Amino acid sequence: MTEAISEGLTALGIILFWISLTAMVGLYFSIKYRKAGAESWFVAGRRLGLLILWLSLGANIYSAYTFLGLPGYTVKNGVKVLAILIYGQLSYILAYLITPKLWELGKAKRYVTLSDYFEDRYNSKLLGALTAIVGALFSIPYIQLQILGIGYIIESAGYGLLDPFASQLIAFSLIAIFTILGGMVSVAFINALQGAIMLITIWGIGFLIPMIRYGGIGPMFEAFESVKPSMVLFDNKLIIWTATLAIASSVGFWMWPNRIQGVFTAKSSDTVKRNALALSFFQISQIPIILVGLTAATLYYQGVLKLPKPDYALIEIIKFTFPSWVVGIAGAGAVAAAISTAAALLHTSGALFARNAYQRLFKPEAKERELVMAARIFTGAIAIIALILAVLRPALIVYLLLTGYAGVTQFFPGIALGIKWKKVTKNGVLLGLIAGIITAILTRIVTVDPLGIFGGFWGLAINFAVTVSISLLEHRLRGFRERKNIP
Amino acid sequence: MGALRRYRYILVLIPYFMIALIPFVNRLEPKVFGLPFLWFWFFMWAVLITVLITILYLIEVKKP
Repeated sequence: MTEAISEGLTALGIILFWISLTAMVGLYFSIKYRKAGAESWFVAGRRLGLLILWLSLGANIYSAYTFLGLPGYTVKNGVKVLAILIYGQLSYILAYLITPKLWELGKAKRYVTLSDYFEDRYNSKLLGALTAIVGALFSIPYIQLQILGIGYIIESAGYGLLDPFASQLIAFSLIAIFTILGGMVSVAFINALQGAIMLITIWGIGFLIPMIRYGGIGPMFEAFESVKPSMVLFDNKLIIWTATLAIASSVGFWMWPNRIQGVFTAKSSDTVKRNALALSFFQISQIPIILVGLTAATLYYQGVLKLPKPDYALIEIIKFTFPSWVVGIAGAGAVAAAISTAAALLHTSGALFARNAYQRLFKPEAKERELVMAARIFTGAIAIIALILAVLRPALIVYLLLTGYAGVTQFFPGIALGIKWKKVTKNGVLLGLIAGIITAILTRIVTVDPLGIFGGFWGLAINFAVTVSISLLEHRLRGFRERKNIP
Repeated sequence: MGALRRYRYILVLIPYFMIALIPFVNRLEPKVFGLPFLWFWFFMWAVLITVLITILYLIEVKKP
């Protein structure tokens, strides 16, 4: 028993050391850029170079979902995890083609949020405010997921020493405070630090675990096939699900408001382009994580490894394989992933509410200072809501995130058609967006993925259909009025 | 080189066709690096997409 306590103390010590180091970096940049103004708070003054942009966007994108969610999902669903690997990678193709263009528009018209684009392109405050509120609401389960993740890590890595609720509370309030004080500069530097430790952890342990436990990837797969043959290949229904998920979510990937805002922090459109390329290397890192998940799954179904819940798979298999200091470093990497994503999401949600909803609808004359203050208040409020949800309604990490994906994917028709198609109208986008979001909610929460087709895909199809047909109809009507001289 | 430059976007659309091929690669054999063929197929594309984006970027940076 005393041995368990000393192991727990070692692992927790390393994790806490890392959290405090992060906190100090956050505080330093908070103080340094305290008076730098709104452009700095929202998009770090648009001056990040490739290395910091890459690490910070990487840490922003890869979260507790990657670290805990993927191994957990592999334990529960086996082969379905391949769909997640591939949509992420496909999304970087779109990132390469679309995000430099968005950055250029953002620079020319001083956008700082995704909703700024909608407001400006369609000349509609309503559309700006609607996308802001929807974006922030769909971010809440994503933030919730990070809090859950931190709780699992600390509980599991601490060998049961620390109360998970208390640790969630401490880690999360620290991050909320730094996000609120420092804004984007602080988030970017915190995330750069987290990105570095995440990469080291993944590549360090990813290939070692199947080696140590089964003597290689081949023997591990053979053991997996014999214990769970149904989880190695797709059945026919899963093929459709994988294809529709890959298409819809690769499109939705860059529609997360925090990721778009991250793009705006770059110093040039070429940096954005090179960053899309560099980030696809980050995505390859999901392969070792999936291998760790598979090893955990095999051991679990062989009855060797005990898991309280699938999402504990990563930390439990590390505990099972390595001494406690490795558990500590991996735990710090996973906590880092969760904290960095949570900070970016919180920051963006605050910005969206303050700028695109509060200022545009209620206080058009609000000064810059007031705006930053409002963003801080909203950030704090969202943090508290997410924390309450995490405690009251925990769910499987991947389920939460895929539902959020289905939601934010609905921004895509408005953005892509807005860039590529002159005829698209405000009403078309507005009605398409509403129809898409309602469909996504129905097909993710009420009936999950009907006919084996991913909910986000249903939403996207209906969204495109409505947007295009309403836009064309409006053009017809306008043409008709002009011919008949009806005003 | 001119033609390559002109049709460069086709390069990055290729990976979307790999989704259509899933029914044909949904099999255990042949095993590659100890991976069932389906898993090898997905892992290979995860790496290949990065390679294709890199090629696209190199084509674009090079002055015509």
